[in-house]
Amino acid sequence: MSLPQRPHPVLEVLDLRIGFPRGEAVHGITFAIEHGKTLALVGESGCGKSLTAFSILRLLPPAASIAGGQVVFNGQDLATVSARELRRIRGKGISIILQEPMTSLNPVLTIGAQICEIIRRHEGLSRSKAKARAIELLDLVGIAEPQRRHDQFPHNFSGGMRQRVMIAIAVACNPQLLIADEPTTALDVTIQAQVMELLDRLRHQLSMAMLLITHDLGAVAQWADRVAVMYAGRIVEQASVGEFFAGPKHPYSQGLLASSVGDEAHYTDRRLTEIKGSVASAAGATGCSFAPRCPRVAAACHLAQPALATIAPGAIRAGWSVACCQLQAQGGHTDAVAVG
Amino acid sequence: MPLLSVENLRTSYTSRGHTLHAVDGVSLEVAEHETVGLVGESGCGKSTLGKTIVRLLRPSDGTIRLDGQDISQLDERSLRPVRRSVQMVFQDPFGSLNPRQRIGTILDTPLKVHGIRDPEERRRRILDITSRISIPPEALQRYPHEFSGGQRQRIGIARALVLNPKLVVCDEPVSALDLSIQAQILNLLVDLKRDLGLAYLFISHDLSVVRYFADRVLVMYLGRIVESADHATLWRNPRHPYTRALLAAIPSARQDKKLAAVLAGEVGQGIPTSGCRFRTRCPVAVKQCETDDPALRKLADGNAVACHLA
Repeated sequence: MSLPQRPHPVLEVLDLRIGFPRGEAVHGITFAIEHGKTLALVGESGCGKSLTAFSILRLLPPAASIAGGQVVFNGQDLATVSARELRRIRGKGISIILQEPMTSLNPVLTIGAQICEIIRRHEGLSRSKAKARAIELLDLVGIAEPQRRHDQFPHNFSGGMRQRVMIAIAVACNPQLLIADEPTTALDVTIQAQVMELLDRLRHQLSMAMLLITHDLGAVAQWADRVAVMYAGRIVEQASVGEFFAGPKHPYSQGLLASSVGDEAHYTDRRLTEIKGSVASAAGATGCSFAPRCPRVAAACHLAQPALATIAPGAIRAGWSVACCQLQAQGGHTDAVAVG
Repeated sequence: MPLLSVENLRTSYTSRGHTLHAVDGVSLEVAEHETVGLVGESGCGKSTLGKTIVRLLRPSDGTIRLDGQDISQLDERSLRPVRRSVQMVFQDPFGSLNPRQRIGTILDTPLKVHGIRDPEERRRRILDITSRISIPPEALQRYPHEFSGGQRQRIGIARALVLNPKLVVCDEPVSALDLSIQAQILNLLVDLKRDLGLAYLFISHDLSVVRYFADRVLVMYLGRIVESADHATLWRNPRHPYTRALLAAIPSARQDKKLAAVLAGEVGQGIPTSGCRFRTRCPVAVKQCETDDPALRKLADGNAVACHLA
């Protein structure tokens, strides 16, 4: 390919499929995350965004499994590496923060013990050195009086503080990639902003890349570099955040952006834009899975599932790409010219 | 006379001899056909306030007048006729419908309880309400698990409206739903309000939803109302520093608007025992805030604020 030389991405996911015994939940998705960048994976519940996040570290629920594709990290395919090798990567090369700060810490161990565990496991530090590092980390994530807090238990911490502890554990070994699965959904608005700001500061300070899983487009606009929109187990649009918010191309992305409560709206003036129906209406149909809800649906949409194709110059993983038959039918003439 | 008028309401929880005033002296009014939004972070007492107003909880002090009648201390039996005119929509569409009852039964029960004996009349009212919420009549034979979250929330709304109430307390009715479904439910609530002449007390932690939806917004912090603002004021001139912080914390899809001020600290971290409750997190607190507890002051434009500096 005649593309300009780009730095090798931290993580490349290629045609990843995740299956359950009764069918497939993620139908072949492809994306990449560059060094030090944040990719946001957005979509509504059930679209497969969390499954995708979990599959990277092979943390899928027992019934689910990776049915195909590759997860390439540092030249290794995480979908097939040995369990032993994977243990070396979890928490060291790639860390994950979960949505629920209330249940993701062990209630009978001190905060300090839970941070030290990972440091000692991966870095082989002595007990006292690990403790010193843990206190340093608590300070780094903005917890006051880290010395005293080190010996306290999770129930002594509020939701926002627990999420900070989770972040401290996640960044303890300077991972190259941090996966954050709805890191602020369970938190109050003012705390959400604090936690996202902390994550963004750490990302720059420790030069990590981040995969941010969220349903909140506002958070995407504020904190991400690239965005991939998922619908019913597929990526339907992928673009840089600037391009995306200037004018998303896929009808689903447009609907999502329009149905979020606008900055100046009031119900006496205008109604919110709805996306008709629900995700379930796509089940079992052939053709585009968004077709039953799509305002611009045409006969061709029911024939085949559209593939993700670029509408601007560049590869799917770096440029702007959309999976919509109608855009692709005319896209070659209009959009590509307009954009590129 | 307002439809609902609450004065100096106080609701307390007691555990192991320790008393917590979750609602600590709240006064508010809701007029007929008005939508009043109530926002605050978790633990500020907004849900307790909602539950007290529909009298699922008994207040420890203060009055709740509905159409002029004080319902604050009524017993269960005398509350029955009141419950016809004030109903509640709950947050969790998965937990608030009995999984072992058909939708028909769920909607029929309130009518039976409230003494509508004629089965034809009950059926007519159920079909009327289900047509308004776009649930087909066949659905009455089905169970809650057969419906999606958005549809269940529609059923929860139907259950609240089947008795033709005047006031509906909506406790976070859309926060458990996906974005595209949220818009459907909010539009539905707007339509129902217009068609049935309802008044809403709309409780939410999400100021972006409330300020879209409400004619007037009450902002609650640690059991007190700190600001009452009409729609235009909230947009252009929010007065309380807490309201301003809440507004600033809404991430915007417009990239040019970067988050301005992020509030330090959290609710309930070292609640001050003197002066203003918000002062430990307040970016503009002064000496006076440490000693004097600001009361909710009425302003000339009809709004109210509890801040020395506003």
